[in-house]
Amino acid sequence: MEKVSIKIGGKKYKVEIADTDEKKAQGFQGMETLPKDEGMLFVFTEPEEVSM
Amino acid sequence: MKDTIIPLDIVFINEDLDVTAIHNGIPKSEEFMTKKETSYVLEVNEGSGIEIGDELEFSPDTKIRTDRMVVLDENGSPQMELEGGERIFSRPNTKILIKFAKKANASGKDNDYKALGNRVFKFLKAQNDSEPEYVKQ
Repeated sequence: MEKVSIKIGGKKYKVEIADTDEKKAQGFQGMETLPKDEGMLFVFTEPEEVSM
Repeated sequence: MKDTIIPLDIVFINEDLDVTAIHNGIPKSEEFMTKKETSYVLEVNEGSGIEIGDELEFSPDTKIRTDRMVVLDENGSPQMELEGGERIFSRPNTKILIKFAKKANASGKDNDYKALGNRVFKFLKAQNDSEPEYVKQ
């Protein structure tokens, strides 16, 4: 999936969308660096209690 | 974050798109934060400066589907995701039913309504008895 542009706290980020259980479990495992303007957005279709 | 080596800001966001909490994700640490009523979590490099109360904004043409609809198999696992526009009746069968319905509506006769009902039943039964037409790859 393409990265999505978001803005938060006055800052812009390009984020990967993690909307499946597999993507959420994977997260940033195996990655050593993350560009300052990039990130990952985990999406929960219904509001739920999340532990991270 | 026991399997992640990048130090992160883990930002909890509710369905109103407001930041409700921020947790500093320490590499290899077993610690975690739990937050109720969470709709999104954003992970970015630590030291982001994001604060509680900040608002998440998407660009106007972003398509994030927050309401996936899936068809479940007998074990309850998603078998197929619905894209929208799925039809119970195919287009040709829909045209047939409309034809029968218009006739019954025009005549008001019981027999015409029975014919419509029979046709609906026939199509539903065929759908019930047959294999799926569409298979998600």
